[in-house]
Amino acid sequence: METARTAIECNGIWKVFGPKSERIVDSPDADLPRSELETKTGCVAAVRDISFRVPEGGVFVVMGLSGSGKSTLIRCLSRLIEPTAGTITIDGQSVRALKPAELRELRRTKVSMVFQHFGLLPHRNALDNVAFGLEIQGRSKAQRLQRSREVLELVGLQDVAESYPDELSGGMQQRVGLARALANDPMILLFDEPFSALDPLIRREMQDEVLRLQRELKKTVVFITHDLNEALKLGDQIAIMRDGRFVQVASPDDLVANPADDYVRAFVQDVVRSND
Amino acid sequence: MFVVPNVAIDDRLRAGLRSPKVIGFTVVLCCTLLLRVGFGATQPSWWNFRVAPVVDGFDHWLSLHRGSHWAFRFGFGPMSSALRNAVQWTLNALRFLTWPGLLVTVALTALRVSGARAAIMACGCVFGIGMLGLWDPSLSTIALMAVSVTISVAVGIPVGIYSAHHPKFEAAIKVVLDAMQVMPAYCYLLPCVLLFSIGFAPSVIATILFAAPASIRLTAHGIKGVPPALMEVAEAQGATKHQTLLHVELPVARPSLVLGVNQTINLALGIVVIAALVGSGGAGQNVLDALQHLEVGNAVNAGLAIVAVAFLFDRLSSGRTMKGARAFRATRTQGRSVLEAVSGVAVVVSTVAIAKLAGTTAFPANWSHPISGPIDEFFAWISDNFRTGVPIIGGTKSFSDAITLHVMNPVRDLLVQRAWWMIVVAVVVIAWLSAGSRAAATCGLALMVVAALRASGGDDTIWADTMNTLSQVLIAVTITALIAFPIGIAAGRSPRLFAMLRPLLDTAQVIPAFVYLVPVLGLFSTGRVPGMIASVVYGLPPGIQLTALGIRGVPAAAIEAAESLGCTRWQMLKSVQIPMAWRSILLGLNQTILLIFSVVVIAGLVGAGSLGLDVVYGLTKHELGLGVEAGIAIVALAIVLDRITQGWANTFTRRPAASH
Repeated sequence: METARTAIECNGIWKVFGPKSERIVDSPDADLPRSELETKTGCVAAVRDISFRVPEGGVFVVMGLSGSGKSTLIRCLSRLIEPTAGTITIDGQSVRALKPAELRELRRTKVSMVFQHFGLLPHRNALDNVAFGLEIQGRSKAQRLQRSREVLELVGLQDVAESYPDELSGGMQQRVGLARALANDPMILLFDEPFSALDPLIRREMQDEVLRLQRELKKTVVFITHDLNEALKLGDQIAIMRDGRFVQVASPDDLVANPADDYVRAFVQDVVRSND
Repeated sequence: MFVVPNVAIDDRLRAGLRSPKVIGFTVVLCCTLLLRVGFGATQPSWWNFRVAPVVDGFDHWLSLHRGSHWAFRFGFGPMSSALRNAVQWTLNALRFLTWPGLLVTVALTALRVSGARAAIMACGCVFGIGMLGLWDPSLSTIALMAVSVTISVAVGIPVGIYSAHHPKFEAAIKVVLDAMQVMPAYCYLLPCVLLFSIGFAPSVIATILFAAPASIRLTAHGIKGVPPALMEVAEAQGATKHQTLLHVELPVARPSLVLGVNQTINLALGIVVIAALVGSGGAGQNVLDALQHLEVGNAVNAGLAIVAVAFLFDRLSSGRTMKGARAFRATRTQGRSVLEAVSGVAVVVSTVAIAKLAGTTAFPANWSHPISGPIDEFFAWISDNFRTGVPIIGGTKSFSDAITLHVMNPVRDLLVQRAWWMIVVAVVVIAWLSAGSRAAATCGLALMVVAALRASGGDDTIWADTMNTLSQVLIAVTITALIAFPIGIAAGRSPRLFAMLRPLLDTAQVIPAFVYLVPVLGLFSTGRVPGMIASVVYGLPPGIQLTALGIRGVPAAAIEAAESLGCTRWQMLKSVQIPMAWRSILLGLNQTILLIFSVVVIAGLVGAGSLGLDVVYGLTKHELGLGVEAGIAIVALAIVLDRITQGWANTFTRRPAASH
């Protein structure tokens, strides 16, 4: 794993919302607690000085509670949210230097995202939802339908290709979301709490599905979750995020064995107990 | 009582002096003194904007320079003839189709756009128009509608999209759109006549001005309602702005867009009829003539033709339900679409060819059976038997006289005979209490403008007419609210009643306001009472519907919680449903008042007099100065009514806790 090429590398990413946000970066103010910073400067620092590296084919999981900044972080990677500072390199390309057209090209071909809210278009059936990304790339109709059918089959939905999102269960909708992300054969998959809205049983099924696809397709994955069990199950590396910072980055075993501080320990204890 | 130290009293006094109530009272008192002392007990002669002379002078200048001035030679003139030609060509095309060809075209279009049931209804409408014997006038109404609606939608949708994407632009046009919405259709005609003379052109322009806002608003509403999550998905997929609009925003906003088109059509129809006043002809002309000559039968006949046109457009534009649309799309293949298009055109062409060979163009006259005769007989019978002398209730004339004498006259006199400054002050105070200082200032200014209108020289006709109109509106609104509120609550609580009323309410709102005057006129003859009753009848459906929707909108969780506490039905209504629905009920009242107002104005045609009559007089007798002054007064009154009642929804309900 250590010798694998680097797929994603981030250095010192900051995202500060608010007026004159760039002044907050690396200033002493940035260390203030959230509410104090907001009253003092009117800014909210969602992501503070985050650096990490994901090798090709690796699964990097970011775990944190709501409000920890993890959803903002994953959106910074493909600049759905513009980071305030820092460098992001994806497949050797400096993402922050890309022009709008190049950025679109990156999103079309290299980076796909799976959303917590599924994000399916209500007026299109499953097949056309999967084909959406290909349509945007300007592929021919025959091409995109063929590819979409293949991907739907991959996630086991070939039988409901003609169904509309509101006719599908939550689990099936997220499979469509997954298929849509896979349709343009991206190098990197970004998952933003994809299974939080699902029932526990379906969630486990979907986690297994992701592991299976990961083994078959060897994608690089960044996975956001608030569920430590999910993180331990999926991740090669797990980052625990709190108040916009990484508290600890470690392998699953390491995390359970050597929690860096009380915060992490509290989490891990819970897991250890529930596994007993 | 406690003995309060002096310091505290001082502080309290100081705080009290700065309280909004005291400030408000002082401001109003000063204004009153200013008005009373500065302006005098009657409107002073110098407080006169001289609108009428200026407008008439401008009109005179126009009649001399219309042919030579650059603005008309290169601006309004060509625009006017382009619109006139567009309508004329559409009319020619409709005539060229012949009636069987038109029937087939309508049937196929409705079948393609809205499904089989809509196609049957649309064909029924076409037949209905023919049977009523108003084929030709209805065709020109349809042509006028087609051109106006096409332009309205073609302008409205792009502007709506642009304003959804540009909040600053939206804020700017919102002011304009709000103002346009409170203006009754009438007022749009006057400036259009001034610039475009009479005929098709001013009608089309007035219709667009009146109807396009619906399209703009609903498009913007739909686009802004697209979940941000879906926009993010499109962005994450690398979609360009153009692709996002085409593949995400427009399809998701589609129901709202379709509703916008539908509403645009309904509004357009309302004004296309009134546009007969400026010589656009069509079925509206028939209604207008019949109304002005009190030929109830003819008016009903022509009114029905207009209703048929309304339904025709409604069916053609309503589209499919979501379920129907999916089933429809599932059957589509490219080959089939082409085949259908080709065969459709072939059917139309062959129908037209056969009709031409057979020599038919207009709907055969011997097939048509105008219902004016029987209607006239019916109303004659009613007026013979029910006009007077019916035991207990007295008869329609007695009823009408009694209402006029005991309700309408006292209220009118109360308003008309009061000194003008008292009315201004009273309205300002009411507006302040209802909606705060800004609304009070707006309302005060609006009335001051009315006070400065002096159409026919020194006397105060416009002011008196405004008060007269206001009195009619107030009575009609009170009656409407008294009827609509209980029915609406009942319908809101009983899903069965709501389901029963729903088609009736929907239908009632498609029919143009104008048409409501006709049967009322048959029953009550002319005067202020029929106008008031028509406006009540027109205001009832939205009043009932909005009240019912408010009650139905109360969250089921709140109802369940109240039930679990053991509320009786009455307690539930009093303490849960009405308080929670109050805000939407009051918002509904605001809309209802504006609708009622528009009918009261239109009722000027049938003897309700006042501002409505002034406008009609101005339009038909080419006294544009008088018309414009009355129009300004109408707008001012509409603004006053709108601001005051809009405030109620916020003032008389407990504000939801601020989210920040």
